[in-house]
Amino acid sequence: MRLRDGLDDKIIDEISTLKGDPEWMRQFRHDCLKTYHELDFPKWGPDLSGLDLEHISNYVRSSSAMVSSWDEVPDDIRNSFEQLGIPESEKGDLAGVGAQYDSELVYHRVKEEASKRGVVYLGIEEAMKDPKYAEIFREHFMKLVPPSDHKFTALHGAVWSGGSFVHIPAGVSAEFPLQSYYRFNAPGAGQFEHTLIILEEGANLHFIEGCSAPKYNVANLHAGCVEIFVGKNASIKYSTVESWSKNMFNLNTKRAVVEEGGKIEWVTGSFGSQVSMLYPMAILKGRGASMEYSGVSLAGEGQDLDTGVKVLHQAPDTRSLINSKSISKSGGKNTFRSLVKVLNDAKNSRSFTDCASLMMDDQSHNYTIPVFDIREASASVAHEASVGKISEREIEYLCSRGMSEDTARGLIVRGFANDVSKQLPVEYAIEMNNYLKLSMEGNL
Amino acid sequence: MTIIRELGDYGFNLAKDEHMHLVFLLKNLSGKLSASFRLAEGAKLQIEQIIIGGKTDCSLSYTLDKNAQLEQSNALKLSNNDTFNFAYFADHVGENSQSSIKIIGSLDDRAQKQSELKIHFAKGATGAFGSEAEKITLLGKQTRNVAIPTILSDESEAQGRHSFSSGHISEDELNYLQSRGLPSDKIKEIMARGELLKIAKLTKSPEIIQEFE
Amino acid sequence: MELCGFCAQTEKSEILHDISFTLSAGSTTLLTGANGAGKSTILRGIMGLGGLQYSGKILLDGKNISKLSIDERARSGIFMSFQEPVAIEGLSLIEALRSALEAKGEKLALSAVKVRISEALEKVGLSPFIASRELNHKLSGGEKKKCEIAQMLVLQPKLVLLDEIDSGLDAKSCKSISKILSNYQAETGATYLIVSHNLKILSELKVDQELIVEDGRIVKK
Repeated sequence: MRLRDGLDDKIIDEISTLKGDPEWMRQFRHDCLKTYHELDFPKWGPDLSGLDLEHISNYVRSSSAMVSSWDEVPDDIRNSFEQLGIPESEKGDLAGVGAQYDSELVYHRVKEEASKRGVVYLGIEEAMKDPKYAEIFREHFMKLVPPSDHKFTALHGAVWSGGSFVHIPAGVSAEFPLQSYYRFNAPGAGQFEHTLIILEEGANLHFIEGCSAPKYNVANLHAGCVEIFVGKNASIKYSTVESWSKNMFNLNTKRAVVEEGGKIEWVTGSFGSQVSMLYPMAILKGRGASMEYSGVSLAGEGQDLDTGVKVLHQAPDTRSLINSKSISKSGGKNTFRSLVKVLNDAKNSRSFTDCASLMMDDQSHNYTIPVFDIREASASVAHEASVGKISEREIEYLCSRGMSEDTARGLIVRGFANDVSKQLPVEYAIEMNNYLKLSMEGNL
Repeated sequence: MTIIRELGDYGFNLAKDEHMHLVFLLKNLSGKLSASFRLAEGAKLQIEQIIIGGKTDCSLSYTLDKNAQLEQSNALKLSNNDTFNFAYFADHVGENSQSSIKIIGSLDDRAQKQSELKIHFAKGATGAFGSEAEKITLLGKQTRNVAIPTILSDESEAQGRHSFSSGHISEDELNYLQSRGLPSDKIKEIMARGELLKIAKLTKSPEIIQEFE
Repeated sequence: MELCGFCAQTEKSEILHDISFTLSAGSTTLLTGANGAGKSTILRGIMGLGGLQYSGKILLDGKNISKLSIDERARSGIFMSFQEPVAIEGLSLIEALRSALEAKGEKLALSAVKVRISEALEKVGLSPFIASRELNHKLSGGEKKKCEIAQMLVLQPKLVLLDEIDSGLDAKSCKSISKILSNYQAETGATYLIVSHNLKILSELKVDQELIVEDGRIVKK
């Protein structure tokens, strides 16, 4: 008998019942499970053999994933919280323990503020069941990222749990950033979450996913999904700073479709996980739609981070701008993978990519694999990439001002990542810079 | 300088400090060309690949030892239903080895091109430098330009660069020529012609230069 | 400072041969000689900058610093104004100086550093906004040199190595930088070792010693 992962229809039924799914969602989950078992692992990218799929079913079913006390959180995670300056009250939430009450309270406060402006911001399971939003949910859920896309979107479709639903009516601007809401008391918290964001014409939003402190989880797969529908002349900035614990496989799928005049900005800081495969994508569907991507990725010892971005220019006058910074150290492996595809109808489209990679020492690895598929003569596409070591000249210059070589390296790396960190809200930028600094000093 | 005009399988070994200048002239050919080169310590290879029309698949691979130098320039002129599939691999195994490949091309009508350029820095290739530059002008309504310029680095003391552009002209160049009365699409054509001619001149072959004048 | 039998070499050849001279505290010494004679190399050697093998002794206030790293030498009170100041992406001048001061034991808030550097920038005739911008980014050659002096004023060194500080500066700026250097020396008793082709930088300074460098040797004092 072939060794399977234990995920079967019985478990899917249990999940569906636990969540009070409508019947269509129950069936949808079953169909996804079937697709999941039919699809193969991807034939390219990092080695996924360490993925603990065998225990996914247990994890998904039981609440044993949650540690029951702060003491059970591994030392290195606890220490990193200290160093990153995470306040005491938040430590519990981030470790998956602690006052459910606190996180509920924060969530409701944000929810109230948002709704005063007409912004709908709900836990996604709530939205699915609420008569006001059930239809719009069903119309959009996994339409942009179909389960058949790859094995892990199929898995996601079968076992998804938790996440955020955001709907912004026409002309409304959410005045402050919204954050993805993890209900830490729920099993599978944050690992198979689904984020669905719909912006009507002229709407505006900054959405922040995750947090910059390391999250500790027992099971080692994050297969979340983000779908964003950007209406005409609407705009969204989607920021992610993630540093999952170092045993994690981070296989998140994010996709946006952008209508005429709309804009999406992806801002991504990837620091955690053992293995990442992350390629946020934008489909520039309407005339004048645009995408900007700023990403920084740091791969340290034992990490294989395969990240990048994809953009499809489908309409005239569309624009994409990609700025990627990769850093590898202590044997880490960093791969930048991108796709810029410009179809025949995308007249006068423009795309520019700047990709820089820093190798901090002689044990690291850095790979840059961009793909261009251009089918429109009037399109203008340019790309520049460089791979190399940190500049000795720059280190010497800073040392000549009296700071140690380690400090100099830390500042140079931070400066290198500055393009990205300056796009984030201040507290995230600070945490990200802190994380970079500590990583450089070998303290994380 | 040697001109090779036939498709087929080739292998070359450049001895220590040997210099070679090779031109592949592929005019309206259909089929496959593959060539592998080993450059020993200090060897220098200058190579031009001139592709005019045809439906060719071409695969070139190079292994570069210490202080070896490779300079490759490709001039590509495709139209009608021409296709060109190109795989290039420069494997830097020696210290201070250097490679550069430059591809200039114009694609008209329904022509299609796919290029996979790969530079690899093996561990130990300290001080090595590799660059890939590709500049393609699309002139037709149904052309397709696919490029995958890859840098794989396992050596922190090596440096890699690549640049790719399709249909891209800098604002300065565009404005300057427009101020001389030239419309944008004409400008692209003229600039592409000029750059192809520059590569043709590297071959020093009157026959080839004439193709691009 | 005293250099005793100081040599510098590449893998293949010797660039500096047996350089020995003394700089008394508070004095100004000028290094002259043709291009490529080794003048800048002497300054770079004192700072310990990479690319060459150095041997011989460098004594600062009687202490041999030749085994110290670049930053240790800087913290011992040496400052070098680079012939080509280095631009560093994403790092502001304020942040760089704050870290430098912190390394010396002066832990200051960003705002305090900002005040110090803004004052120094204004003194050298640069906009204080440069403080928040990326280090040496989008500055002309002359502005970069002025920025080096502004950094010097913040870091308060006792031995200042000026490597062609005047290149890129117009006559008026040369004079005003010369005045600033003169004032700084009067206030702090700093010692200067200057490489210059344009003697206008010396207009407000009194040269106590001139050393002629030829082919990597001191030929005349």
